[in-house]
Amino acid sequence: MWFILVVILGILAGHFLPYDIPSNLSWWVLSALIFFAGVNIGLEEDILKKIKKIANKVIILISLTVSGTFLGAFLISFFVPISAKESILASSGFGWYSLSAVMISNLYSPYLATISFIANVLRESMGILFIPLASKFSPYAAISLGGSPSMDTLLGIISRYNDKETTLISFGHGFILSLTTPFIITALYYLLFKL
Amino acid sequence: MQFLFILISFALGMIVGKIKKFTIFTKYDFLTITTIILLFVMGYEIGGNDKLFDALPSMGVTALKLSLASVGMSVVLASFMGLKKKEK
Repeated sequence: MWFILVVILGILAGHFLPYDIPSNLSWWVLSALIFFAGVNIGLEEDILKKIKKIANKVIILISLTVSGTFLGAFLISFFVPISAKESILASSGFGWYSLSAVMISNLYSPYLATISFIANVLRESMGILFIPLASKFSPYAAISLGGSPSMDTLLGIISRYNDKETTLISFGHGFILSLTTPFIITALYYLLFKL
Repeated sequence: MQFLFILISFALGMIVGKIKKFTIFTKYDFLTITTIILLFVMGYEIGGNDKLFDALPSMGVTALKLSLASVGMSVVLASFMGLKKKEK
């Protein structure tokens, strides 16, 4: 949960310090982060070959994660002060808080970006809390719960409560979901707000 | 095209990782370091924007509901793929 602490520190610093930071700084840091994520994957030996073997399961599970996320976002939109379209766009980070927030801030509004940021940070935290519980009745539910972080920050927890194949599916799920997330956010924005 | 830019950053990273000549990447956890910097910067942006800062409590509640609903439905749908067999 250390990442929540860093966010709170940042919020306090931003509120009380008189300095402004360049508006596109977060974008450049995000690009660096994605580059390093790529390096980590590149370093892994034939991990992609291993994922190919379980590709079917991974792709079905990702479709369920994505449709479940959108369905939940749509249903809850009747109980929150944002529209159904905004709710779906905000949920479309699937736990990748940095990407969704920076992209939505550039595409749509800082207000929705902040909601998306908090919602996706919370998704990762819920992963830490609920994966042990969800693993008891369904390994797939445990992976889907975490969203994109199922390939990194949550992988350790998933592997502790599940078998090896589940761990590999979890990695593949997070990996492919992360690759498609920038595309999903861009496509959703144009579909929902530009058509 | 920020979307294209993201894919290019990722692809470049993968190529650099595959080359395996840059041992500096295995020595230091750059991913965690950049994550910390990014989280701080994003917090800083929210804190520095009075409108966002004042709206934080209400946005937090909205975000919590949104997150619970989307996580909940993901879990429900994913469970259709299979439940854990009871161990004998």
